Formats: sequence, structure tokens, C-alpha cells
Amino acid sequence: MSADERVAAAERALVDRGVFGATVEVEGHQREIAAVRVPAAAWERLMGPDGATLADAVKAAGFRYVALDLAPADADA
Amino acid sequence: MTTVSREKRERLRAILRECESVVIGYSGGVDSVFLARVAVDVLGAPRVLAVTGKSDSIASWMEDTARQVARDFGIPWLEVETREMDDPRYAANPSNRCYFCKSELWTRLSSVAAEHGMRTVLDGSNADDVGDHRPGAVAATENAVRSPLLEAGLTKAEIRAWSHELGLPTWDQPAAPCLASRLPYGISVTPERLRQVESAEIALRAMGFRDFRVRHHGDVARLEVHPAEIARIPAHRAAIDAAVRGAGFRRVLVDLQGYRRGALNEGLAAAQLVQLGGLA
Repeated sequence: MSADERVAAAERALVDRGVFGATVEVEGHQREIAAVRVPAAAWERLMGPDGATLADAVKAAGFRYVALDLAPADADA
Repeated sequence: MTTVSREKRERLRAILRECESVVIGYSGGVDSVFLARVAVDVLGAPRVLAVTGKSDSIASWMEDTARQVARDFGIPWLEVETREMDDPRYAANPSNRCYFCKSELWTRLSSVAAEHGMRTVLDGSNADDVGDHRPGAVAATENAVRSPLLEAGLTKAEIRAWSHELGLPTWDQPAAPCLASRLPYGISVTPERLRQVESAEIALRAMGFRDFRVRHHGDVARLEVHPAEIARIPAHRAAIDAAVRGAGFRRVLVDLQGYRRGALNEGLAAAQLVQLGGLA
């Protein structure tokens, strides 16, 4: 699966689980990290008990780590 | 709290008596502090020397803890400079990086033991370390280093409980491996990268976080925070982002799975794992 395909699959996995407006970028020297940005309203959910389950869903797209970007959603990466 | 059986207590004391006089690899962590304290009880201070290896890969707060506890509990203490950073095999950060670091440490401590007329060199490995990826254990074996806590079958929970009984401030201290453990294998270990990690971790500790790691992925920091503390992140989002960027990272990420021991080993194939307990 190419990097672009992984991104699309990861974003689809989040939508399927009710996380809307998320964007995924690839980071890490082995391109092993899914860097996720979500609207502020979704923060509590990702940092709560659902976080690990959502991470598993994104990892299934081909990532080793799934992590939330701390920058505000409207900031440049 | 966990109780420690009389049999295990006696076994540990018997092992220490068998060692006669000891140099202990003393990082300032839960295990080595406990071992040094019990060794002083069993053998007497003149037969114990706790030695801390000083290098860029050791967090300064660990060094401070080591010094302070030694002073408060009457543990003879020495600091020696180790030079693992000068070894290109270590700096390249292969999956057996710890072997080169521990090889340097145990070689230095064996020399210290000889200089001070101490018979045995000890480390703080415990029964829970069996099965972990521990390439450094090979270096310990090569240097005839003994592991009394492991030999006595003491688990981390038992060591914490006994430490609490002894009044050691480290009894509930989170595990604190060296700073190089924050760099994924293949990203070279440099003093600058280690300083970035330490600076970011100091900032998070100042915000009240206790059990976490700042993983260094080049210009990206990936924070692993213990699941019990991760819910505090949203309230500190802006401050964490600013502090970690201030340590020199372009982007700051928080891992959704939280802190888990050995997370950077998740990408290793089974053939690359060196497990304590699997060694001859």
C-alpha cells in the first residue's frame, strides 16, 4: 500500500468511527507515524478511553504509531 | 501493597553475603537504589560502593537523585564518566545499542572494583526484566556482573514494596531508562538530540506529568503519556506544544496509545530481540 493509500484508509477509518474533519499526514524517518489533526471538539474523545481503539483502526491502514498533532487545527504543520 | 516473602528476603541477603564486597551499577532508579541500600545493611558500608556512570545519555535529575539518596542513606557513592558516545557502534543506534553502552559501563565498573578491592560487580536487573529486549545483559554476562534481585526472584512490585518499608524516596518513582532509549533505532545518538529530549521532558515534568516519554523522530517529537495521565493533555495542550517546540522540534504529537514500555521495540523482528533469561 502506498503512503497516499494509507492516508486515505486512515482518514476513512476515523470517519467510520464517527471522527469527522480529521486529516492524516505521514511522519517519521521510516514514515511509520500517522499524524492526526482533528477539530477541537474531537480532542476529548481521542484523549479518552476511545483513543486506543481509534489508534488500532488507523494502525490497520499500515502505520506503527498513531499520534495527535498538538498544534491547533487551523495552524500550519 | 505487595508483600515480600521471608524466603525471598533471606535469599537476597544470602546472595549479597556470598558476594562479600560489592560495586553496584547505581543509576538512581528504583532497583539500584534498593539494592545499594540492602547491600549496606547486609555487608556494611565499607564493603559497598555505588557507582553512577555519568554521560549525556543520563538525565540530570537521575544523577541528582542518585547523589541525594546516597547521601541520605549512608551509601558510599562514586561517579565515573563513561564514554559510550565516543563509540561509533553506539552512536549509530542499532537495535543492540545497549550492549555497547553497558559494555563500557561494566568494563569501567570492573576496573573500579579492582582499584577498590571489591570482589563482585552487581546490577539491578529484577525478575520482571526476564523476557524484555535486553542486549545490555550480554555485556553484563561478559563482565561477570551478578544480578541479586533477579537471582532472588524479586519482582518490581516487591522491590517497590520493600523500598517503601525502608523509607526510600524512589519506591514509587517511574521507570527511567537512559535518554537514548527515546531515539528510534537508526537515528544516531548525539548529545544535541539527547539534550532536546531532556529539555522537553523537564518541561512536561514541571507541568505535573510523571510517567511519559518524549520520543525523538528527527524533527518530530512523539509524546507517550501514561494512560492514567493522558486525559490531562487537552488542558495543557498549548503549553506542551510550545515547550516541546522550544526544545527544538518542528512538530509535537501525542501517541493515542499512551506510554508503554519498549514501544520503540515494536518495529523489531523477533530475530533482533535479545531477551534476558534467554541468555546462557
